[in-house]
Amino acid sequence: MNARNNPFSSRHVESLAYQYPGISVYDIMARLKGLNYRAAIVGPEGSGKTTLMETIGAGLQKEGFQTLYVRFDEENKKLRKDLFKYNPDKLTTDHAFLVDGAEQLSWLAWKFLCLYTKKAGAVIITSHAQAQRIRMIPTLLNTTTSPELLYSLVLKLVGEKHMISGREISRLFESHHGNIRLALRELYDIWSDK
Amino acid sequence: MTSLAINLPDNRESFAPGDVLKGEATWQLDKTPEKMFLRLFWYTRGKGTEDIEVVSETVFAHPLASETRSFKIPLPQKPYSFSGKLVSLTWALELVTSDNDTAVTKEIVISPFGYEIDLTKHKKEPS
Repeated sequence: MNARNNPFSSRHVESLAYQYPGISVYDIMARLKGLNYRAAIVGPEGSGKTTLMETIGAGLQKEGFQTLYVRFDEENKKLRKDLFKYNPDKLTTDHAFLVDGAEQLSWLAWKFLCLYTKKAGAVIITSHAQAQRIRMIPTLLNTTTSPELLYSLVLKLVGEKHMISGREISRLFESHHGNIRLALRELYDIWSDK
Repeated sequence: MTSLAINLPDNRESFAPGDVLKGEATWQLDKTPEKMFLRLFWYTRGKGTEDIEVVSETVFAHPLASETRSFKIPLPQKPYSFSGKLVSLTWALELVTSDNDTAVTKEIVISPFGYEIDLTKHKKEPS
């Protein structure tokens, strides 16, 4: 199968909405408001933190916030001036700052980021671990995964007709230690060989 | 009623690198747009991060709410349209209002062979 038709291409995977059992996006937004729009999304790799943050970002835009995203990863751990399009003095309560991968930052960089975003109306971060710096910001949600979640996401991508077995889903889930992103990438490879 | 269309002669979809793409852009909008843009771009889809590059932009200035304008766009020499297991590259035209409110896209093929190159058919030689 070529890349364009692969149901596990990044375009399709990234368009999946965040799913969390028993809680709606509306509930999450209400909880965020209750935390005065400063909160952390905490969870292991591939558990949907970034997806949830983007969902929240869209929700904040609907509430009138201007959203600003900053992403950190293994290769991009440092705060650089060019990461920020806005002068901190120009940040207002209308701005929502969304920081993906906050666990990558050093203690000093985290402190700087806190100062930088002081005037913003909302600050949402994602982090892999419940690191010390994360304790300074209340947890909005701990993201978790399950074979059932993987099953429902795969079903959305391929449809009932091409759905794979529950046993295969369990195998993928276990072999990737619950990392949904990696499981979907393996499925991309499996589909590309069809 | 709002409608936008990109019409190519004889509904042709495949072009050679360096060809001049001729066609018509038609729109019917509820209000008069400030400008209309016709963009030629390519994008990738596949396992990794998607890429996109706008190669040319034609601006239709002072448009009416309903109008048809002709266009001529010289096509680049590369990249060719292709599809493999890891990534596909697709060329397309986009007609869009200046406020980005309404848009239509039309996929085309740019290839010296007259069709998209299918990399999945090229098997690796055993070493």
